[in-house]
Amino acid sequence: MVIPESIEEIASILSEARDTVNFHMRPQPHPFAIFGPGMAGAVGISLSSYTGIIEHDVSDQVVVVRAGTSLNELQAELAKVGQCLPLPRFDPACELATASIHEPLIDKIAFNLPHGLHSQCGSWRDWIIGMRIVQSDGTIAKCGSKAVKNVAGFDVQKLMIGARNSLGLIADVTFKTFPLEALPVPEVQFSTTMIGRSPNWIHRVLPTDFAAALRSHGLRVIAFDKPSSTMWVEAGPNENLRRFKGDWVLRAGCGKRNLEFTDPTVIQLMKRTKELFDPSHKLNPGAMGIF
Amino acid sequence: MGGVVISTKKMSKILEVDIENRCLLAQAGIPNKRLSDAVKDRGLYFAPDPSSQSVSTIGGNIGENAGGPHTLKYGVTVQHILGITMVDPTGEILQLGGKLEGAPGYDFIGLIVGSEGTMGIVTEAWVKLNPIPKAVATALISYRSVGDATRTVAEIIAQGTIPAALEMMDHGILRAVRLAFGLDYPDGTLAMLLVECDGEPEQVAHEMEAVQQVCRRNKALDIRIAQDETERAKLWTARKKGIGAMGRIAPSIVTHDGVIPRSKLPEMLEFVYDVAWRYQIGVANLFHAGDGNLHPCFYFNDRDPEQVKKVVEAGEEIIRRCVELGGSVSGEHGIGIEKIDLMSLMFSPEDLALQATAKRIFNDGELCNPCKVLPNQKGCVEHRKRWRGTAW
Repeated sequence: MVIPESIEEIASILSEARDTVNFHMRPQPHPFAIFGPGMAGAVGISLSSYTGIIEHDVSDQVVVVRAGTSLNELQAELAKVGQCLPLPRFDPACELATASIHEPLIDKIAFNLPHGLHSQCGSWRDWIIGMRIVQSDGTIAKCGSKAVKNVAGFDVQKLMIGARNSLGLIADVTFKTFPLEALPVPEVQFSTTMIGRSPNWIHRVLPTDFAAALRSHGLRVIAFDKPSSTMWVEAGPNENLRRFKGDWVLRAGCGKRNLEFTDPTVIQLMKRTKELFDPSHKLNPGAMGIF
Repeated sequence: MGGVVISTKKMSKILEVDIENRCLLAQAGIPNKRLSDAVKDRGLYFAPDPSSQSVSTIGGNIGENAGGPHTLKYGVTVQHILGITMVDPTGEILQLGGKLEGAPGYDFIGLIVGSEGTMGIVTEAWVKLNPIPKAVATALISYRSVGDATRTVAEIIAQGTIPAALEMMDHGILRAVRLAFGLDYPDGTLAMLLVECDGEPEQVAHEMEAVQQVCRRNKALDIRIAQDETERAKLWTARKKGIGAMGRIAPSIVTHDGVIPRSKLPEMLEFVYDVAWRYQIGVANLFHAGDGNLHPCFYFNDRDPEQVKKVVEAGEEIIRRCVELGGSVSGEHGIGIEKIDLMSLMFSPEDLALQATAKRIFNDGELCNPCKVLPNQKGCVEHRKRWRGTAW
């Protein structure tokens, strides 16, 4: 495991790595990650020493932070000036809700899991206005900017969010912050019989299917959020719960089936994107399931 | 040289409306405002509202990732696009997304929206619809100085209020709007703010009260709250048609587009006035003040080549200053060809190469607006010279 302390070190590791590289922050992979076969012999990179706020324009409500910083650390700093990222304190995807806030930002952004204020406040794709990434060949590049409104060039940072670091390593992130005072109350409801259970099935359906999906999943539901039509469910590893037209699912503990893509157009485009950004498939091999 | 222009003007239908799931499917050539008109009697609307919304199409809005006055609270176009159909440069019809947002995988829609037609031609889109707010309060506030108005903007945001809209107009715009629409305001007014709060009635009343307190603390001359929908519409007409009203003052206008951090508004406005004075051309200013997006509007006579040259050079000086102050070369209007040479102010060669790689996901050739957005694309030098040639 390599633990770089600067972006130049990260770049050096990636440019020199001939074999595969795996990014993870903990002894075990993220629960929703796919630990691909290539990862066993990979160079592991941890950002546990690449942390801290680089710049915070309080009056402009923009903060630049290193991606190894925990969510909790960032929220604590922002709270001192009445700001925040608009996330609830709990995370339905985490067995120990408070533990989730100690996850590093790089994991949060790379996995882009639903949260309990998505409908009211948006998500990582809405709050991130810029990034510095390190590409598979070690090149450091910036995308987006520090302007809260910006249409200059192509928003490559959007591609990186939810990409599980398969296209590049997210090093620095620029956020627009939210006034803490205006944070809405989440409407997530928890099942009293499933407290402490870990969801391994995150399911979002159309609002018109929400009631039927809840009924179908029944006692397996750990939590649900009606505004975003999202449910956090505990299902058996080989269990296939009822699906609905136009829905999507994220899984944990199911190996390659943690992420399933069935649309041939999407698969083709994702493969093309991977070939362009990481032609040697060095970065987190297997992380996206289809490659 | 040469090429084919493709217009989606005749593709202007709404194909499907799904009220229960709060979305609709429309063809790219439909004007933005018609989307809201189609669902308003069901209590819904399409939130992105650029000032051009009565004529700008959803396809154009997607191409530019359009903003508008209500961006501050409701976000830009990309945050309201759930799915698109796009014809890529090889002629393949791609369908991405659908009725539901947030799907896993790479965010191709997030990349395509705002790509200025360089990745393909969007022909249809599933758009998100928002419930029409239960209450809305709109206020027009007059100030004796631009500084008082810009300080008000900063304080409103800093205290935690997120208005639905927070717009600023200086005396240049106000003069034109008075001539064109009879807008009345106190003598000595050099700047006005248009503030709108929306949501639940109690929350709106609370927010508007907080806004008024900030305005009074910053020496507001007059605060006028719209008493009914008719008056509210009148206040907004004056704002949305402010630039068009400039036609009363001069034969030609050019509206520039730049972004600066909100805290730099006072400094930037002084710079704009200084530039206009040095170049001896008239300027009026409209701001989406809440997010630091400025629109200096130069008025001039385009039959005088010297004036045309000054307008172009003054605009570039202002945009360069935006970047120096930590902003962007474009907040809404895009790069096109006009600002290609300014991209290097914001992006290094490595940054631009990253964007070029992203473009190749969809477009690896010479079709689809080949000379726009990214500098140093082959075959484009002549094209840019021709654009300059129209300026002088």
